[in-house]
Amino acid sequence: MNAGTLALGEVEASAAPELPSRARWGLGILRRLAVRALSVAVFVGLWQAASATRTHFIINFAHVPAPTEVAQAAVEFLESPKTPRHLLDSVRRVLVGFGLAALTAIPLGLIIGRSRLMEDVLLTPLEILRPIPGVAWIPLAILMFPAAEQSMIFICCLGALFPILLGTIHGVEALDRRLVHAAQTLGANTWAIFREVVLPGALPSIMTGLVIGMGTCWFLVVTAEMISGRFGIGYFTWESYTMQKYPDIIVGMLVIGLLGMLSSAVVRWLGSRLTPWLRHTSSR
Amino acid sequence: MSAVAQPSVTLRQGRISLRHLSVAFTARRRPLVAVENVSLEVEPGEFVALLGPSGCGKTTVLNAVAGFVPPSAGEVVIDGERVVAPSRRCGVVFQQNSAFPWMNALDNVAFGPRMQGLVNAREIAARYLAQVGLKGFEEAYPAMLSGGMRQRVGIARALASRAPILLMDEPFGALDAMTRGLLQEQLLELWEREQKTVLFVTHDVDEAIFLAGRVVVMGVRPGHIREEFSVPLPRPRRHVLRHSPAYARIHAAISAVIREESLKSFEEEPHGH
Ligand SMILES: Nc1ncnc2c1ncn2[C@@H]1O[C@H](COP(=O)(O)OP(=O)(O)OP(=O)(O)O)[C@@H](O)[C@H]1O
Ligand SMILES: [Mg+2]
Repeated sequence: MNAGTLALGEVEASAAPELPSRARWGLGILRRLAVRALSVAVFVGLWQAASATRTHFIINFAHVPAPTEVAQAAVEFLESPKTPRHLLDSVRRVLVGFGLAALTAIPLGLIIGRSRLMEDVLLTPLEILRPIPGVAWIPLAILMFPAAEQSMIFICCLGALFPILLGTIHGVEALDRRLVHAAQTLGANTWAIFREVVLPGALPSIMTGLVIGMGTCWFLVVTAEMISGRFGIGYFTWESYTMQKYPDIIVGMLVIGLLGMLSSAVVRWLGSRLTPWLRHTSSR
Repeated sequence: MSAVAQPSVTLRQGRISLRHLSVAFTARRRPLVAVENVSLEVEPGEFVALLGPSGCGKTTVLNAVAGFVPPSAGEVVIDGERVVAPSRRCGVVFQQNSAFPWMNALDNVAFGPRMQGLVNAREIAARYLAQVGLKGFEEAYPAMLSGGMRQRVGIARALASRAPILLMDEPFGALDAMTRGLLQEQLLELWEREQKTVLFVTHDVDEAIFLAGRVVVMGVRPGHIREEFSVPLPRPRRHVLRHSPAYARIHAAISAVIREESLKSFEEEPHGH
């Protein structure tokens, strides 16, 4: 084995200088992209075959629309006048719910993380509520709010609240105490310490909480819409099922995935803009 | 105490009094006495070095003076006021890097002046940054700097806050010999110019003698003051001083005590259970 690999390595090494390293790097990327594209194509092909032959082996493909049907439904979805309303309603619910959650959870987490008393007073009731999944709140939320819109936003907010809160508390508690001490000796008052030391120090952990919170937000908004919405991408998906427009189910699923991915990417991008000092530490 | 009766107190700030100071921690649910019954008077404008083997409580004494840890017995008094919390009276250089990671070097150093509401905070910071040899690194985040450079940001930050007392915990430990020698001379220059009180922790006998007017040697288990040496070498001091016979004599005396204490800390291992 040794002799073989050694020889191979030598051949490669002697052949290498013919291509500039940058071109080789580009070729490597192209090859990986090709492999990935092929992998997706094979997956879609298997799905097409399973649907066409109505395979029934553990999973029943008899009612699963084929990729071709889904593609057609996707085109119709894009052209439908109702589509913008579905998308905007969901996005608005997520933005409002997520925003409310962040505005509540970040200050709350900063205070809880800094004060033992506040931890006992505020965190104890929250800890009791935390194991209850957001979905379990849906019936009560419908009773608690006069309008379905409000209850959906409430559910969404609730889902994002805990990840953001816990991320913030963790970030504050993990903060190096010497940094707070240093700020105190440099003349910073309590408010300045919060603003200049505790908040930026906890920011990386807060951002992690926000990314996770954004995920739960989409999860819950889709569920809530299926139960009580009249518009929204979750409602669209459920309506497609009840009206037996099966290809639309999959279009709805794909759109939900896409929106979730995009919003997480936006939060991550925002996070890296807000923490420029971390961009230089990845190698350490 | 009336300020009118004692004008000299208000003129010269920076008197530190440790009165029977003890500090205890709870380590693995047991009390651990880190420092026991330490009494020390540091005059305004004095340069005192705290010298001792690792774990003898040097950092703990400094932390008590800064107000970071409460005494378990005794007290720390600065300029007639008992220390109960960190304050602006002490500028602190920490043993390990403690620069704010989210601020570039300039903003780190400007933090103190900015908190004091000075409008030219960044100019002041630039000056102190240049003084520690970091001109050109103003925009760099601490993560982009080397360990020694980060430590120098910490030194500049403590200096820029212009506190009457400077507490330095092995500030030059992470630096190469050249930079270390340079910064030692600069620190002396600054001290002579600004008449600060400096409490300087080190485990380097040469450094303690070169810098301080008085060397306080600490012993272990629990941390206590073992012996004090005054260093009657002329100022301003330069590094050539190290070849003088007076220097050699005091070096030999301090080294003997330190060796004894260091050996003790190896021999008497605490009886673990
Ligand atoms: N926060 C803490 N909790 C528990 N024990 C502590 C704490 N800080 C210090 N100690 C203990 O107190 C003793 C003195 O520690 P200290 O850091 O003051 O030593 P030091 O002289 O500064 O040592 P070095 O030269 O290695 O920095 C040690 O035994 C240490 O384990
Ligand atoms: Mg120490």
